[in-house]
Amino acid sequence: MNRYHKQQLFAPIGEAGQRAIQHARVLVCGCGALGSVIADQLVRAGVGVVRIVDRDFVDITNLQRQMLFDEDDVRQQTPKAIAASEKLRRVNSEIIIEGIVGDITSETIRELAADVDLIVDGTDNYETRFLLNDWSLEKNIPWVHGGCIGSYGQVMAIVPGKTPCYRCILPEEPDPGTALTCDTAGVIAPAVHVIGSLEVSLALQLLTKTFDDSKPSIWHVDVWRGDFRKIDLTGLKEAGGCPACSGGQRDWLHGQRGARSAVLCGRNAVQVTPSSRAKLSLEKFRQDWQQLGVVTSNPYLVKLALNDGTSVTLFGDGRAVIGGTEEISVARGIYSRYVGQ
Amino acid sequence: MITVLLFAGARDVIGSDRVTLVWTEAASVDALRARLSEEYPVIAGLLKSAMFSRGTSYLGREALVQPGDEVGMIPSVSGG
Repeated sequence: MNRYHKQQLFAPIGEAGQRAIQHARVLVCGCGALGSVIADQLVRAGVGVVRIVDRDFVDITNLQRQMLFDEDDVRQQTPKAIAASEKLRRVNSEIIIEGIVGDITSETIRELAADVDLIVDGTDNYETRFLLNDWSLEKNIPWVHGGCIGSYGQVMAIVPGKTPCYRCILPEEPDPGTALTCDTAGVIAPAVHVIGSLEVSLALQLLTKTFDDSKPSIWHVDVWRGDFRKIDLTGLKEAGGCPACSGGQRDWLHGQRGARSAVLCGRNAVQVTPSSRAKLSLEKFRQDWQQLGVVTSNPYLVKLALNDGTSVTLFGDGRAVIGGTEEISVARGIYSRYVGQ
Repeated sequence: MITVLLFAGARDVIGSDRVTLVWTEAASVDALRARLSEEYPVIAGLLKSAMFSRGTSYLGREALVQPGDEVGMIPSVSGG
């Protein structure tokens, strides 16, 4: 009996669908709560290549809902992409699982997404989603969007030229502070598991060519109240006028939009990215920082915990997560003091 | 009158699953957005990125909301 037996018995997938899944290459963007669920199910489903990209490391507040991580990962500050890929290789050794520690930007997306058939959204911010949307339209690759907060979330499959795109439903990036974040509204595990699972359901439909793009829709779910609403988006595509899919604008992909610093959702931390990509010697920082505070490290990062409660976690690509603040200007100040430039 | 069904964060912030507005003639979704913003400033931020629906259909910015309509307001969700 092969390991995919039960999945193949499911008529819409069947043997042909299973072969398509096993030949597919899928990029999972972000491996927090949604990304964990997505990566887990794609790996178990037998997707030929699962590439998991995440910019962060495991934190104690992640464990409540991020199913691939445990307390060892917190102690070792393992990058999520590494922790996830190592766990999932024990689940399915017959496929290729790539864990990449890094940020998805207008620069890096060209390598990270160059050879994939499908992108699945595990990100926690608008900016990366607009970038994924631009890439999808530019390269004619479908993607599945999902977002989650509190007890609710939304899911939508985007097939360039067939369905409305992400910018059709959200023409402009919301101003900071105007949308709810999981900092203020929190998020519960049932919500992320349902939303992540719905994303994978759409992903499997796209991979097996059983997705019906003639009836585009967005799903809204509230797992606390039991609401499930499917909104028909047919009229939206016909109306036209979208700056991205009708107008051809690729503002995020071409780097006209997008910041180099980002407040990390729910982490009391800011990611600071250098203006050009670097290849740092983490060992040098590990030595230099010894006098400044408590220094810990693993093969992927070095962390300096300062007396005032802030911290700098530096990755080999020059990015740093500044902990203990949500002020971008403060974080940038700390970055230039301890990392330089 | 129209009834606006509130979902997700909008319901949480207002503390009710619906509000009613005096609505005497057909006006666009953009007009509804402006009107809600004015009467319920607490959801002004959410309104900018919210989508509207009638029944199971999406309502674009120019779509007309008629007196007697029941429309849904669904704020966008960005967490993950």
